[in-house]
Order: sequence, then structure tokens, then C-alpha cells
Amino acid sequence: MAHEHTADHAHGEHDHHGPAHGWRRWVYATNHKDIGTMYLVFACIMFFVGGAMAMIIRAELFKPGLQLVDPQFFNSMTTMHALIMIFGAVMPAWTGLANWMIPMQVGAPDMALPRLNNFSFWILPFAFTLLLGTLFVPGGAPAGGWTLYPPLSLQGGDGFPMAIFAIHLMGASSILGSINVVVTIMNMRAPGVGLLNMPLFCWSWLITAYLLIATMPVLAGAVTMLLTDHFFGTSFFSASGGGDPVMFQHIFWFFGHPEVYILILPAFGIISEIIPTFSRKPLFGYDAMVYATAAIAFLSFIVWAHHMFTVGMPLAGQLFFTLSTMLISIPTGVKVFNWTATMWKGSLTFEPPMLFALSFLFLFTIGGFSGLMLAVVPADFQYHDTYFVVAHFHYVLVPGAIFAIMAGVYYWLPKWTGKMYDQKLGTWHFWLSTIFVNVLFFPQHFLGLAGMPRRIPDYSTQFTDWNMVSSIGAFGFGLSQLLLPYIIWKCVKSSGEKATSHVWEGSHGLEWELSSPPPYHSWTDPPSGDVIKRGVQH
Amino acid sequence: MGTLKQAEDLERRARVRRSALVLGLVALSFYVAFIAMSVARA
Repeated sequence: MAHEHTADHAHGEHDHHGPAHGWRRWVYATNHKDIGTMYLVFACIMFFVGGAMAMIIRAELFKPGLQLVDPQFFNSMTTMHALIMIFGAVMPAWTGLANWMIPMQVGAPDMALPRLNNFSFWILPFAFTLLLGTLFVPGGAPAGGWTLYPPLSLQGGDGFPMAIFAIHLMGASSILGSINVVVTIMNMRAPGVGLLNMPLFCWSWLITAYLLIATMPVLAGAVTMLLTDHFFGTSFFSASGGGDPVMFQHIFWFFGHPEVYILILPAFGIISEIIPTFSRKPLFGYDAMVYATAAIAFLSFIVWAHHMFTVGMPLAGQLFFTLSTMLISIPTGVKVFNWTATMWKGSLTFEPPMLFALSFLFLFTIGGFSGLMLAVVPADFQYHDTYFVVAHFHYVLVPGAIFAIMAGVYYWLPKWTGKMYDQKLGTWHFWLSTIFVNVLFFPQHFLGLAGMPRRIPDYSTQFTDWNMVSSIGAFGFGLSQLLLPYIIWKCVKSSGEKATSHVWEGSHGLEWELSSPPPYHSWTDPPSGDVIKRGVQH
Repeated sequence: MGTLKQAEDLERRARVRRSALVLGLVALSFYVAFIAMSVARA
């Protein structure tokens, strides 16, 4: 209560600047919490749209032969599922969490550039309307895979330029959002919040933002060149005109590999917040965690060609990209070790955020190990473009990135709403998700090792059993995700148990020094010395 | 005190604007550089 009093006292006099009413609140939003909420709602909608596409894919693959969709549409589904999940669900969810939490965690009143923040968000609905619109034009949606490799991607119909424009818009939104994050963290920290004592979620986002600023323009450059090859007679990637299609792959993966870390680094930040809270211990090795995050970000720029071993490259190139890829396991191992050491002899409890964080720890590590297998050139020759790769990156992205987002939502939801959610339902959500995600993706390792290629609507009969198991897992996982919006809706609408300012017994950080829910404008006056001392943990 | 706080605030706003512009230019230069590199290579 004493803490709540502090926060309320500090901000009570500003509370009369409440939100606008009706649609104006959202369309003209400049408040970081409103924009954060819009990002999260948008990400949730896209998660279910992309998820519905995954259901179509798994329904088609339930048994061999073609039963539900034609091959062209199946390929559109794989391509759109990836683009929507990456750019529409995971990235906006991270930006939403950044918007909500970074100003509160660094003691700032808002993001540094609130109007730019509004613009970054409102670009997204237009981008995804355009992308989804490709499903309804002649030639259909892009079907060449999310990697957009030419010459295949250049054979698309009217949807091709729409998709390229949508990708440009998504990139612009990400870059503007990232600039906002960097500028906020570098310029808006309250006195006493230093770079080496701010929460790791802020650190991981700061590094992610630099990655985004450096790599999204590279993707934009690559797709601009695809566009000029298609419509303006250039031959960047056309062998018949003297260009080089392999150059596209190099440029794409120079963006694409750091993109993987863009999706996972904020997850590392969230897990580093949750595990200490529910272990009731400070994070083990804070500095090492920061340096490990920076090391992963640096290494992510020098490993891109491990996606292209089968294209052919000199032995020196193969060795370099194998070894640099394996090097990433060192800082990642530091992180896994530190999370485990944080729990060691801790006073652990298993509320939904901790359950999702633990599941992340185990299952993300499985994804990491299969990544190491793929880094070995002769093995990659065997695994490349098989379901083993599909299993690998889904282990990294689903129980990795998406479970971390869920952990973050369950961790901060009582802070956002001022009410406790139904933890029993949250625990059900966790168990169903964790069981079904393994039923869904683990058999895909076996399918890949047995030689089943990815991105095909039909397959040889020896792959039937594991495909059926995988599809059953997919339907179970998809259905169990409906619990998440229900739990959130129930929490928002209920007049149930009120959340205290600290919510969780072991929580530390400036956001927990604010009341639950926090005032519409938080930290309009910087937190006082006492608040900083309590809230800053390292 | 008030004038000092205002001066600090103005200074911070200028810093925010400056760093946002620099980061925007970095992003733009990556975009242009990769296209230029591809033009040179082609």
C-alpha cells in the first residue's frame, strides 16, 4: 500500500489529463499505453488469422493426397502464414509490450516520439489489409515462400506488387518503432536509472531495435530490386540479363538471420524478468546477460549463409559459417545457464507466467540444439528444406517467442488492468499449449529426418502416421489458444480480485512501484530517490 | 529552478530529435547502400 501511495501521490495531480473518448482515443492515440494496447490487440488478431492458415495447412497434410485445397493455394497458405506470424503477430506483440513497459520501466512519462509512435502503429492495418488483399486478386496471394526467392516469386500475379508494398510498409513501421525505442531508452531514463541497472527487457529491446534499424532497410532494398526486376526491366536477380538469383539469397538472409534474433531477443528479456520474480532471487549474472545479448546480436550478422549451404560455396565459406553459427551457442548457453542458476535454491512458485517461462527454457533449448545440427554442412545437406528445418524453427518461434509473449502478458496483465485474471484457466492454457505444441512439432523432426520435404501439399504414404499426429497436435494447439483472449476478456470485464501495485511477491522494477492499473500518464515527475532505490534491482 | 528545468527539457528535446534523425539516416543509408552494392555487382 505504501508503494501505491507513493505512485498515486506522484501522479495524482496529472490524472485529470485522461484519455479522449470514443474512436478519437485510438485513432489519435499518442499515449504509450493506448498504443501498446492497440499493438497487442492487432498482434492477437493476426495470430489467429495466421493460425487459421496453419490449420488449413495441417488439415491438408492430415493424410496423403490432395483433399481440401489446390497446391497453389496451399503454397499461398505457407507463405502468408509465415509473413503474417512474423510481421503481423510476433513483431507487433513485442512492440506492444515495449510500448507498454519501457516508459514505465525507465521512469519516463511516455515514449520519446509519441506522434511517430501513432504513425508506426497505424501503418500496420493498411499493410496487412494490402497483404491479405492479395488472396482476392488474379493470380492469388504470394506462393513462393516467405523468403520470396526469385525467379519463383517473380512469377506471381497481381498480388506480387501488393505484397512488396505491404512489406515496405511493415518495414517502415518497424524502423520507426525501433527509432522510438532507442531514443526513449537513451534519452528518457529517469535520473538513477543507468544503462547497467535498467531491466533486461529494456536492454534486449534496445539491442533488438538496433538490429531492426540495420536490417529492415536491407529487406526493403531486396524487395525494391525484385519490384524493378519485375516491372522496370532491371536484371538484379535474373540470370538471363546478367544478374544473379543467388545474390538475392545473400541479401535476404543478411536481413533474415538477424530477423530471427529480432523475434527472440525480447523473449530473453522477458524471461529474465519472470524467472527472478518467481524464484524470489535476483537474476544471476546481470552483466553477463547484457553482454551475451549484445554478442548474439553481433554474431547474427555474420552467420547468414548457413541458410544457403546447399547453394554451393567454397570450403572456407562453409567452415566460416559453420563455426560462426556454432559460436552463437556460447552466449545463448550463458543465458540458459544464468536462468537455471537464478532458480537454483530459489523459493519457486509456479504461476502461469513462470510456467510459460519454464516451458520456454526447455523447449527453446531443443530448438537451439536442432539449430546446431543444421549448422553442420554435411548434415545440413541432408536436412535442408525438410520438415526437420520446419520443426527447428517452430520450436524456436512457438514455445520460444510466442510462449515468452504469453508469459509477458500473464506477468503484466494484472498491472495493466488492475485486476487478477483466472490463474486456474491460465494454468490450463499453459498445460494444453505445452502438450499440444510438442505433439504438433516434435514428430516433424522424424518426418524431416526420414526425408519429407517442406512446402508440399501431398506426400509419400510412409509419412502418414506422424503427419496425422502432427495435425492432431495442431488442432489441439489452435483450439487451446482461444483460452488466451477469453482469459484476458474475462479479466478486463470482471469485477474480481483487485491487483496490488506489486502483484507478484517477488517482483522488482519501477513498473511495480506504480499503482495497478497505472495512471494514464505515469512518471510525469521522475521517480524519487526512494522509489528508484526500491525499484532498481541491480 | 524553473528556467533550469525548462532549459534541460529543451536540450533533451533537441537530443531526441537529433538522435531520431541520425537513426533514420542510418536506416536510409543501409537501404541505399545495399541497392548501390547490387547495382555495382550487376
